[in-house]
Amino acid sequence: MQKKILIVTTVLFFAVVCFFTIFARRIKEAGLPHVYAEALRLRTFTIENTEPGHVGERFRQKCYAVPEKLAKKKEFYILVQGEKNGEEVLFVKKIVFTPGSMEKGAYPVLSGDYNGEPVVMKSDRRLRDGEEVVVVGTT
Amino acid sequence: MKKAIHFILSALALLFLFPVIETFFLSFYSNGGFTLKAWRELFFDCFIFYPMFWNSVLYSSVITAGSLFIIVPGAFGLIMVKKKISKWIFFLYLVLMMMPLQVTLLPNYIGLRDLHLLDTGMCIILPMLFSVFGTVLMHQYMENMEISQIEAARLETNSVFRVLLHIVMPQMKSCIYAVSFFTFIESYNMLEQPMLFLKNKRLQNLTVFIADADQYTGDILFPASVIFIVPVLLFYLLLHESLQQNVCKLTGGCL
Amino acid sequence: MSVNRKLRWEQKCIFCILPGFLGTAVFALIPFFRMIYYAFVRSQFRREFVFFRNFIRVWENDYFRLALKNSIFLLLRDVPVLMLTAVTLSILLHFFFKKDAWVKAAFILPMVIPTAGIVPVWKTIFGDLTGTLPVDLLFLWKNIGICMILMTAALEKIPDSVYDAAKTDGAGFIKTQLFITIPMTAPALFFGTLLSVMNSYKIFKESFLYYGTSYPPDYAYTLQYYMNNHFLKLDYQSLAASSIYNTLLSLLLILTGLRLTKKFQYTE
Repeated sequence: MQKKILIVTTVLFFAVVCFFTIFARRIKEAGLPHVYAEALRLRTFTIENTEPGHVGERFRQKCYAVPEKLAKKKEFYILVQGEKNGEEVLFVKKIVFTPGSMEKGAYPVLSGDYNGEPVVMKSDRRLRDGEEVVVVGTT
Repeated sequence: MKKAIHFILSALALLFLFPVIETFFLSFYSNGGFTLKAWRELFFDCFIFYPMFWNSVLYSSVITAGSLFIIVPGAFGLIMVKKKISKWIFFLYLVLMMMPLQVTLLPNYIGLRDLHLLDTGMCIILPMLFSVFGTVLMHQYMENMEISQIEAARLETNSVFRVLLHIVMPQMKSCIYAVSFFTFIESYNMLEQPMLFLKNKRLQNLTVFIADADQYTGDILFPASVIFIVPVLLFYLLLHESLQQNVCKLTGGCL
Repeated sequence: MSVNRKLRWEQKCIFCILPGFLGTAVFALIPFFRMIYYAFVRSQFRREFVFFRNFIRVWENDYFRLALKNSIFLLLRDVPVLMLTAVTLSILLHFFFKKDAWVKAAFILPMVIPTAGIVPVWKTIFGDLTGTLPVDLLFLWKNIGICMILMTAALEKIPDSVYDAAKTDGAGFIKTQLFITIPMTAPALFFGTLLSVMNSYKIFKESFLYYGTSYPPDYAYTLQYYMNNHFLKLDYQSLAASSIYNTLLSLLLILTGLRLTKKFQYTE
């Protein structure tokens, strides 16, 4: 009787570990936020100069263009590649920026620590800074 | 008086079990409370753990199973061949068995390097496959075998294989269990060989995982220990009675 | 049985030993002799025969001396304690505790627990304690099992009549143990001591996993650490020379032990 319990426990144990070996990755991914991301494109914008002494002047400058949704929030998340326990993972980093005035449906990024990395356009849940994500595709 | 001794011995026994029990408990404890955080971090954030676990199990199983094919005929041959040389070989095995691992580690490394086996599974399996520990143990047990049965069998067949299969193995069953068990434990416990001979992390075994545990993020140490211990624990519980009886007989032959 | 048949049988038996022996030769013996060659050579690249220079160099190395000292201290410290505890426990168990098998199983269990699995909890329990106590206790914990098995086997071979005779002579419990049990189990005691000596000598995994580094505190630096570090430095000469010292020491211990064991065979 005791032997039976032990044999069943052994089989169960290995079955469980086997299960996790095969499915752990999928289970984890299911729990991560799924995002759509693509890099912002540079476009020429006409920007009003706000420096004292030059107010009212306009000049053309290439800036990154963000859609209205992100411009309203004044922040977006970029994808950063990192490493966790020997595996490459993607996580998000919050970037705060100042948008300019809209031109042709997009807002220019006037300031912010951004250099062309992929930006999260759509996400299935609210993101937090430093969180790990899964990229589904581009918009 | 008797009761006092009973009490002390039981307390001592519990004390001995304490580390194992504590390992189980600590895997559920994090920052003051019952939590599955450590387990989650091990299962879902540390995917390198899985190949290492299965490697541990695989290496041990292959080594145990394979070495039986070498040990049983080997010990049998040592008993049957009654010349001086078999005594010398046995003595050599005995001496080799007692040597610490480091003595043969370096030459093994060089040998395996020359055979281009480094960084493969074979460099772990092969040396342990030919470990002399099992042969010595089985030889001691076989000394007390009933020769008459073998002589009777020899009248009918000249095939060593047949004799081994039908006469020797049934007698040696409990000994084979004991030898397999010890071989399994020894190879499950391997540290130096995977650490020094293997560079590919996916070929390493769990002992190395636990040794290098600081380089992994997360509280994975205790859950990993638990999972590491469980298979051996289960095998032990399955076999411990026959083990106790048979190690007595085995080492009784040494005296 | 015809001579022919007998010969063929013997041949086949030799054939049985062969795979094991060849494997041992390839993976243990030949490497061993190769190592002896390395010990006498200047370096891997300049294969001059330099006699005993490597040996002298290793012997004069402070770290080697430290390692040797620590290994021997460990042996002297741990083995007596281990044997004493094992013998006492075995005797107590044998005479007082025959029914509860779990107690015995509890003492034997540590033997099978893999070292790596138990070291984390050991580190938690002993934390920052300096000194060799943690590793000593780990060794004790792990090895009591095998010694107890040996002792119990020997104890069970002693016929009850001997004890009855002692009782009628009016001997107390302790006296019976000292003068009857111990001498009658002497072979097992010696074999157990021998085994424990070899095991204490082999301690490396436990210590290495506990300290987590190749350079543990001074009091824990044993011969195996020395060899391991030289292996990592690729200093094959020192490694080979120290391995040979190691082998000589082991051989000395083994042969002395085996001789003593044979001497103390108790026959009725």
